[in-house]
Amino acid sequence: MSRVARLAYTVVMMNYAAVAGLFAAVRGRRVWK
Amino acid sequence: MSAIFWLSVAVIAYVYVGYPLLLRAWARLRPKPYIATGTPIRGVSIVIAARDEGARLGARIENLLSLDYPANRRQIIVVCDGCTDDTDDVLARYSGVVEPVRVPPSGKAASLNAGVARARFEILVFADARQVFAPDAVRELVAPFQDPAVGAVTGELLLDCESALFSNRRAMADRRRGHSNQLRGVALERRVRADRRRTILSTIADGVGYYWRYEKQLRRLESRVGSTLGATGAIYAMRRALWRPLPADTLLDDVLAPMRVVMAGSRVVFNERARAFDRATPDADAESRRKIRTLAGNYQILWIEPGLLLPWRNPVWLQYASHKIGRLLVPYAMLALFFASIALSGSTFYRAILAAQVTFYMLAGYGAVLELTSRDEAPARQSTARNDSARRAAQEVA
Repeated sequence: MSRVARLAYTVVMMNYAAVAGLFAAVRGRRVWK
Repeated sequence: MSAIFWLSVAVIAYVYVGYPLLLRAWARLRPKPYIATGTPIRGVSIVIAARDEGARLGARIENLLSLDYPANRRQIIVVCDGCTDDTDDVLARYSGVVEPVRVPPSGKAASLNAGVARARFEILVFADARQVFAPDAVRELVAPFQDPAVGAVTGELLLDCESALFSNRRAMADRRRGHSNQLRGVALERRVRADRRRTILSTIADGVGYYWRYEKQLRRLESRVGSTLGATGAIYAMRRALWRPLPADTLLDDVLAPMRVVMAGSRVVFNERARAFDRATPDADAESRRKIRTLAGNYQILWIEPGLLLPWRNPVWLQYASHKIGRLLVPYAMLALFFASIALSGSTFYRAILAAQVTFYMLAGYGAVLELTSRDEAPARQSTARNDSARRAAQEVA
């Protein structure tokens, strides 16, 4: 159960990162280091 | 609305299931192996870009010096990217074997440009300050260059959260080999259990371990049918003749440089026998920052090399669209699927799909709670153990 929860969390977090990455790229936000 | 629902399902299913299956079939029916007979020694220039890595650099240089590779065919270049710590002192201890390049703080891409400008051998090997190479890593990394079609090679990065599995396989193999190795097998099994205990302390490391293994399987298959869509920044190599200086603000040098190799008509292949070891990102915040940077970098690359989007310019367009662009589309497909399911929930079928999604997001919420609690529970013990684990894993394959 907890393993599935961990995987679900990772999937959601990674997809959130794809959206946040777009905003970061468009705004030219500093994401380097 | 049902069109949006099914389109979203199609995007998600294709990216995560359909594309890997397509690749698997493709690799079975039309494999494109590279020719790598023997492992002739080629001159390699190893380039490391470092910013304030004084604490790690000594061990890293020792690791490079201990590799199974002739010293006269190896150049080690460390670029100090505006270092303010004791990096210079560490490098001074290795004067004569390491060539330092000092640049004002300008980011990794600019540092790599400066390092490559100093390189004198035919093959460039890129590495980071943190990871550890297996003793035969460079030898394996250069082997595929026997094939003139190969322009770049990426190695395999093993994370400590995977090393439990890796060690387990080694322990079982040792046991099969016979009694003389049994003691070693038992010791490894103990280590496996210890690794698992440490890994379980980090929710995110577990998920990242699975994700990384899935990602590497895709790379393996992409390599078999032509080229991978990038490299692992911690361990990759390319022909110096194919290097083009990177724009200074490049976020993903390990995707841009290999994709330029592909667009120049050469192959980028994955050699899983060239191994480096690292620890997984210690917590969700760090992993989230890393992932945002990676995804922002994927968008940025389209700005820098828009030809990647054109089928007649990009020799691996189908793979690029399915793997890289597909991943960028999935979050929007997931959102569209969720809201379309709500709008269509009058029907039993769509209600069931909605319930499945709600369950998934609740599980993700539970995963987030686990992450928060594990972070509170596992402080310093975890980080020190993780710092050691990459080095131990490298020793295991020695």
